[in-house]
Amino acid sequence: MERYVRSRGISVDYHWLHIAEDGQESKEDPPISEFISLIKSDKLSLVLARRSDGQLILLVTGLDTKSRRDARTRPIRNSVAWVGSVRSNADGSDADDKATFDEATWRMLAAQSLKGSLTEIIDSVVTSSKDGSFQVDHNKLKDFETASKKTAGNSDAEPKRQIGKISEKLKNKLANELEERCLPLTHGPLVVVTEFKARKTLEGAKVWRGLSTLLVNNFDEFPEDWEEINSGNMSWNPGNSTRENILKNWDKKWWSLSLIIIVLGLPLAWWKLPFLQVAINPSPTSISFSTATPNPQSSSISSTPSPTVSPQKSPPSSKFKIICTASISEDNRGIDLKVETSNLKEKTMYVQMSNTVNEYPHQEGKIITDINWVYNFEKLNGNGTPLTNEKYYILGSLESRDTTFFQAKINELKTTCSEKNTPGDYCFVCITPK
Amino acid sequence: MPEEYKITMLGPSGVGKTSLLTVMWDRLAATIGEANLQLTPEPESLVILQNCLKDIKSLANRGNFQAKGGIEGTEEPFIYSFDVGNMGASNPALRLHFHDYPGGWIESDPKNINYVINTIQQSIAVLIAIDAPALMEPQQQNTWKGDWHEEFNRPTTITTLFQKAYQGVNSPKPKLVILAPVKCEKYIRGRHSEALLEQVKKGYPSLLGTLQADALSGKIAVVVTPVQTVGNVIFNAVQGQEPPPRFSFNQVGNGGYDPRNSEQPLRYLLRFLLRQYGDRSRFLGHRFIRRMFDVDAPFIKAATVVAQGCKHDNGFTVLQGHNLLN
Repeated sequence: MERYVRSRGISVDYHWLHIAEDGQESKEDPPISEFISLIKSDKLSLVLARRSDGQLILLVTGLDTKSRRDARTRPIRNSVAWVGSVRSNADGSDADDKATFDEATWRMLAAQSLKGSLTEIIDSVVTSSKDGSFQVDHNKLKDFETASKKTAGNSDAEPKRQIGKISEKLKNKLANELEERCLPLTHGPLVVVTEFKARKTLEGAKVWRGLSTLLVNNFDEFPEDWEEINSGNMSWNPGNSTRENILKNWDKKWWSLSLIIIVLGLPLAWWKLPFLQVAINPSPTSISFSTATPNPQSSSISSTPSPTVSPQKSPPSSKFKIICTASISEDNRGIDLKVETSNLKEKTMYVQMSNTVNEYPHQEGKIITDINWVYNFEKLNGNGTPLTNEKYYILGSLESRDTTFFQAKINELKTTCSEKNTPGDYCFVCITPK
Repeated sequence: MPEEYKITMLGPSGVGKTSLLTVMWDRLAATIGEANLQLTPEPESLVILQNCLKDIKSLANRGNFQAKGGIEGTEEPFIYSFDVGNMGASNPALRLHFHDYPGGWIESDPKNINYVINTIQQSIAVLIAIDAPALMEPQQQNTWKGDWHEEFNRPTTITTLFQKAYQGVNSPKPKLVILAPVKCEKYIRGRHSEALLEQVKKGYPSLLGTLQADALSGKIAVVVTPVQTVGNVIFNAVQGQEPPPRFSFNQVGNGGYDPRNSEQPLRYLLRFLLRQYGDRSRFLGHRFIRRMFDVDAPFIKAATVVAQGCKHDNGFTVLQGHNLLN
């Protein structure tokens, strides 16, 4: 079991400390990045989650302190995260004693935080230190953990997924359930209790139990009592919550399909479409272009357009490829543009989105930070509104927005993505949300 | 679809970034209706801002002589999103994304620092919150010393972030930097606005020098907008024998939440974006203009009225880039 505590002192801002078994403290973040977007961590919030690697996580944030204040007399809060091993495998195989210990402890700790008693306990464990930061009484913390596991029940989990408006009544119900029943064996965020988060956030995360406050938008209203939500596939996919996950999901979803398309489609494309002999896009929703290569050592990124490039004039060895692919984000409100580049790291790419009705005119330069770079067009259709099923076009250009080729490309948006033989260092992708 | 812009809230921990954002929204939203405009936060942002506003108001209304507390510190980054458009219009003209984050991130580990640098790079505007008492106090022999400026406002760190963010940018797009001293009640009401402006210039010489460099000066507008964050809460004294110093604030008059000029940074932002809005339309070509013309005309007219409310005296000034604002 790994323990982490976040707090701040009089002058040192909020940060996480990892508390080793022997009480040694070191600055280190817990592996919770994929769950942070589900909560408003400044307020009392709880996440009980099982990571894809099997680790069980309990994160409790926004725990008030009685008397600790920072240099600006602002009240200080505590957060705590426990990370442990899996209770049992998703295939139902038995867990070892250590793992079972962890889940029982996790559930009891979560129940106590829901009933309000964790706040005072953690406040007694964390104190401000003389160096302007904070310190943790690890023995006290461990004693508390040990005491927590004793009374946990072991009944099977209730499989229904439920959400509701946060209230003392539902928090107590949830606390009682956690004390008596095991957690489901699925991965992802199992329990999320927070404030200020929309219903869709919790639904999209496929939580097993979710509580949040009422938002002003009627469409986001939570029921006063538990409401069962579509139980469907309970396995969680963090979707676009982190860049790493985008890449991971991309790999899982598309690479095998892409490989088949390449194997079957390449000979056909080579034969039918001569201009595609320059480059082939591995994705079904993407088109890639090969362009003349600027000197990689040069600071200039403007390269010579190659409107009628022939393979003979442009051997592959002198080319670089921009391969753009697009996918609809997990919440169906945005589009993730993935750009695979060979030698464009630190270059600037200008991206633009359009659909058949509107243009997304924010044509801002983005630094390519990776050979597998992802740009996320968020909330394209307004907040809380899923994308419509019309076609979306994405342009990425290595040249500034006022180049003629980019404008020419915009003019072509009335056509379809089959219009691909356009010069320039750019990518052009179209995608239709399902 | 609306034009979308990122704005970075910049400043060390406790300087008042979230408070500034809250009162900017509150005051501008309360006044721009007269110009047929509306400023609408997206739902999550709205609920959070409403809670922050409640905390700020309670600070002013607590009925105690000494004001303590205020908005609690930020632990995780959050993007506050606002739509700006004509009242009753089906689509907003602008969508503004204000990036807020824990102030300690500007000088913690490299990962967090890079987050801030990247956000500055991607933002069309950066709003630097400045703790005015730290910039000014103490006053000795008619001179403002600013003894706690380096410790509380971290001007060197702020300058370094800008230098890294704008390093190697050969042809930057126009940007706006707003220096917003907050908690200015004592200095504006005490007729020390000119001294405040001088202290801003003296307190950020390297930053202003960086922004005046040849490669940047024509592309970056810099303005100073002093904000009286709460109103009837005024800096009183520095307390405590041991560091860090604790600033104490007193309620004056009848107390109560009464911020002054809090919407001014947003007015300047809107004024700057209006100018860019026109530029953008030209670049995007006639098709876009035709398509958007019917929507744009009333918006530009209304937003111009709001932008005309930018103050130019009593501590407010445009330090550079007039051409980017007019």
